Amino acid sequence: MLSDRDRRDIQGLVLFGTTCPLLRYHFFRASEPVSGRRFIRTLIAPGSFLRVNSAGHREAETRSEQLVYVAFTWKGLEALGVPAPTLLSFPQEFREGAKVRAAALGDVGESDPTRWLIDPDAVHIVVMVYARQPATLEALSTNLLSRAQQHGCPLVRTLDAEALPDSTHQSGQHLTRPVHFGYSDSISQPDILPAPTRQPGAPAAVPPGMFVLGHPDGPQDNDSFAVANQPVPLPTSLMHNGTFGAFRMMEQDVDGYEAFLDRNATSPDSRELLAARMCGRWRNGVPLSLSPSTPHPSPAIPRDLFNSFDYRPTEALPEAAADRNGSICPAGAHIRRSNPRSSEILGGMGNRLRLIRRGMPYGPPYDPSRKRDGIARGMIGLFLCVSLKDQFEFIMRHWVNDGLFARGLDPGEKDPMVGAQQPGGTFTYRAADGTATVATGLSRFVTTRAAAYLFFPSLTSLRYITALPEQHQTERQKEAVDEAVDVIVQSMMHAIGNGTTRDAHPKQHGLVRATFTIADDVPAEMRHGLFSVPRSYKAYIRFSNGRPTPTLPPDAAPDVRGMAIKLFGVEGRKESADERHTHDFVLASHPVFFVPDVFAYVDFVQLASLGEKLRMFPELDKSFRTLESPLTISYFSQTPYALGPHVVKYVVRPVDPAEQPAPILTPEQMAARSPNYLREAMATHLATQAATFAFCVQMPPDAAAAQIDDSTKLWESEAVKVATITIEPQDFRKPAQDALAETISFSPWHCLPEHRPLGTVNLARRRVYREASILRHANRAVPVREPDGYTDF
Amino acid sequence: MPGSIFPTQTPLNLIMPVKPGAAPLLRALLTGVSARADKPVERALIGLGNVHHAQFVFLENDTRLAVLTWYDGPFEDYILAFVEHIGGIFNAILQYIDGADALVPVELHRQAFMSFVAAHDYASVHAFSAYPGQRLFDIKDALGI
Repeated sequence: MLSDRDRRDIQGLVLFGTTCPLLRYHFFRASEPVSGRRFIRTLIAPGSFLRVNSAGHREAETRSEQLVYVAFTWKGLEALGVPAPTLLSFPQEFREGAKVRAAALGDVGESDPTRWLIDPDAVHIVVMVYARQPATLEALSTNLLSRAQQHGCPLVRTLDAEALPDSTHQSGQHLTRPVHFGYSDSISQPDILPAPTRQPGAPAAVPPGMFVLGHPDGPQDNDSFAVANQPVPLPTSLMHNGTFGAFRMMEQDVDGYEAFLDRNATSPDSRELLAARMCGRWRNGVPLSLSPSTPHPSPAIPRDLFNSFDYRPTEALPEAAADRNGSICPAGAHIRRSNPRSSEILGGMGNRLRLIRRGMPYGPPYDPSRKRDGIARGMIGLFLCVSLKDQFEFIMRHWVNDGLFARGLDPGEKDPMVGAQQPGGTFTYRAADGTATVATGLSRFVTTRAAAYLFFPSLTSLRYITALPEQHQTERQKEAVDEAVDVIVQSMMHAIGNGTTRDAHPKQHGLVRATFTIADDVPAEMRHGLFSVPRSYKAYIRFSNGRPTPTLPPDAAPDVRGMAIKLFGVEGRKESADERHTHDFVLASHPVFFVPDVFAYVDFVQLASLGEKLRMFPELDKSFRTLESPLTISYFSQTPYALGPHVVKYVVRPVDPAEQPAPILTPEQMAARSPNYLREAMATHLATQAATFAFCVQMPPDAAAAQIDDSTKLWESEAVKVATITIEPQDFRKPAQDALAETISFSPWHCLPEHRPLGTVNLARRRVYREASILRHANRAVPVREPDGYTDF
Repeated sequence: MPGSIFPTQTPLNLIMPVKPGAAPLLRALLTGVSARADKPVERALIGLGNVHHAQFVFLENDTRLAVLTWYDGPFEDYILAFVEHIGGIFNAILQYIDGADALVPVELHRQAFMSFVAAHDYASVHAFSAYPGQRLFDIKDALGI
C-alpha cells in the first residue's frame, strides 16, 4: 500500500484527476544535459512558481488553481545525461518509443507516425500545465517557456485541450463532461486501494502497483495482480514511484460518426439505441446493462451508480444479468471492450488490466447544424500504467483492435468508436435469441495525430535526475546563466532607477570598525587563503536591514538582517579586479538563501508583488525576523564558497554579548519601539563595551551537498571557528562614517581566489553587485572606487 | 484469420526435468491437487479461457514431467494471465523441477518463467485437430456451454 511518503513522492495526476478545465501540453527538446537538468530542477525547487505537484495533498490539489506535471521520453532521459545502466533498465517498449510500436497498435494510414503533428523522437521533456483560468494558464506557460529558453530547451510544440461544458444533446440527454462524439465521459476510473470502491457493485479497487512502479502485489494470495510486479528501473531506490503514460492525440470524425448512425438507423429512437450500443452507455452515461431500452429509466439511476454493473452475475454483484452474447450490451461495445469486467474473455483479465485515463477534449464543441466545418477536434488522451506493454498495448492490440478475445464478438471487428477500422468495417449486435444485426459502413472515426511514450518520475527520481554530477560547465549553460543574470540585473537597475540607495539592504544601522583575527589553531584542512596564516586584519562591518521597500520600514518590522565585512590589507590577486587590497564577506541572518539557484531568482524578480513572492518563496518569509540588537544574532553566508579544494559556507556567531532569541513583539510593542532602535542598541552597547563574534567555517554535511547547486539547502554540519571578530568600544555615528556606509561597495567577489564564490546565485551576484554599485554611484555623480584604506575616522 | 494476431489451438509440449529423487513428492502433489474438491487446476484453466485441454504426464521413469496442452492466442501476450491464474500451481510444481528454483514465485519472475517454458517446449512434428481454426469460445458457443 502507498504510504503518505509515497503519496508525497508520486506525481499528483497518477492518483487523482482535476476539475481544472484547461490543459496545455508543452513539448521540449533538451539541447544538452546540464542545462536541461537545470530546467527540470527549476520545476521541483522549493518555492518555485511553477512546481511539479505531488499526490500528497489530494484535497488541496483537487481544488488547486493550477497543476504542473513533468514527463520524459526515453530519448529525453538520454538527452538529460541519465547514466546508461538506468537507461537500459527501462522496458523495451519505452526505449523503442511510440513510433516504433505504432503499427502494432493500428497507427497506420492516416494515423501513421509520418503524419503525426509531433515527432516523438524529437521530444525530450513534456510539461503538462492545468489551470482553472485562462490568465493563469498563460502566465504559467509564459513563465515555463522563459525558463526553457534560458536553459537551452527549445519548444517543439504546445497542444491545448479544454473541457467541454455540460450540455444537452439533441436527443434530449444531458451530457456531463462530454466528449465531441456527444457522450458523457469521466465516469469509470479504477479505484486504488486502500481507498474503498466508491460505487457499490463497481469493479473492486485495485492495488496501487498497477499504476505506480515499485509496489508489487503478490504472490502472497490467490488474488494478486501480477501486472503490478514490473521491474523498477535502476537504481530502484531512486526510480520507484514512477508511472508510464501513453500520450495520444486522437482526432475525432464526428461528422463521419453521425453519418454512420444516420445510415444504420430507421428512426430517431433506433438511432440513439444504436449510439448506445456502439458505446455501451446512453449518451447521458446510463449503462445499457442497467437500462437496455431507454436513457431515462424509471426510477432514475443515480449518477453514482453508473459504474455499478457487470456482464454476468458475480459474487460482488449477483443480480447482474447474464449477458454472454451481448444482447443487452453488445460484446463489441466500446466500454465493454476497453473494460470487459467479468465478461468471459481470453485470459480472464477483465477486471485486472486497467488504465487510468487523463483525457481532455480539444477543439470547439461539435455543432450538428454546421457539419463539415473543417475544424479539427478530438481528445488529448493520456493512459497511465506501470507497463505500456502489458496494459496499454495489450488493451489496444487485443481488446480494441481484435475480434477474437471475447465470447460474443465477431471475428474481424474492432472497437466501433475508437478502433483502427479498415474501410467497410462492421459492428454486430445480437438479440436475446442470438439473431445478429450488422451495422455496415463503419469507417475509422478516430485518427491518431500524435503519440509518445512517457515516463512520469517520482519527485525523488526527478531530484536524482537533476542532481546528476555536472562534469563540466558547457558553453550553453554559461549562456543560460548569463541570460538569467541579464534579467536580474535589469530588474535591479529598474529598482534603483535614478536613486542613490541600495536595491537591497538599503538601511544601515552603522558602519563599525573591527579587527578580524585569524585563529592560530585553524584545522589543517581549512588552512587555505586567508586562514592559512594566523594574523589580524583591520575591518569595516556594515549592519543593515534587507528589505528593499521604497520607504524604509521601522526596525521592529520583521526583516532579513545583513552583516557585510570588508577586510583591509589583504594582498594578492582577487576574483574581482574592482578592489585590490580588500576581502569581503557578505552575510545574512537566515541560514539559507530563499531561492535555490539563479533561475529561480529570475522567477522571483518576475513575480510582481511581495505578497505573491512570500507565497511562492517560503524561505523568504522564514528569513524575516526580529531582534534586539545586530550584535546579538548569527549571520550566514547562505551560498557556498571555495576554501582551497573544499566547498564551505561561513557562519558568524555572537560571543559577547551572547546570542539572543528573536523577540516576539505585539503590534503595540512594535509601534512603541524607536524606528531606529537597532542603531541605538548598537551605539549604547559599543559606548562602553566591545562586541565579539566567532567567524566559523562549515563543511558540507555529505558529498552530495557539495555537488548540488541549491542555496535553499540547510547544512546542519558543525561550524568550526577560524577567526575572531572584535568590535572595540566606539562611537560610530559620525557623518563621515555614515556617508561611507552609504557609498561603500561590498561583493562576495572581492575575495582571494582560494575563497571563490560558488553556485549560480553567487555567479549572478558578481554582476548584480557590481552594476548596482556603478548605477548608484553614477546617480550620485561620483566614481566607484576602492576605499582609500582603513581609517579610524 | 489472415493477418490476425490470434493463433488458435497451439500445442504446448512442456517437458521439464524432475529433480533427482523428487518424483514421488511431485506425483503426490499432482495427485493431491487432482483429488481436491475445489478443483484448483480446472478452475484456473477455465478462468484462463484459452486452454482446450491439458494433461500432466510423467515420462522416462519419472525423470521428466510433461505438461501437454492446446491453447488459443499468442503465448507471450497471455503469459501474464497464465501466471495470474495458474502461477500458484506452477510455483508448487517448480520446486521439484531441476533448474527452476530461480523462477519461483513465477509472479515475480515472469520473463524468466517464459524463457524457461520456451526452452522446454518441444515442437510437435505433426499435430492434428478435428476442428481447426476454432477457438475454445467457438466450441463452447456451439455446444451452448
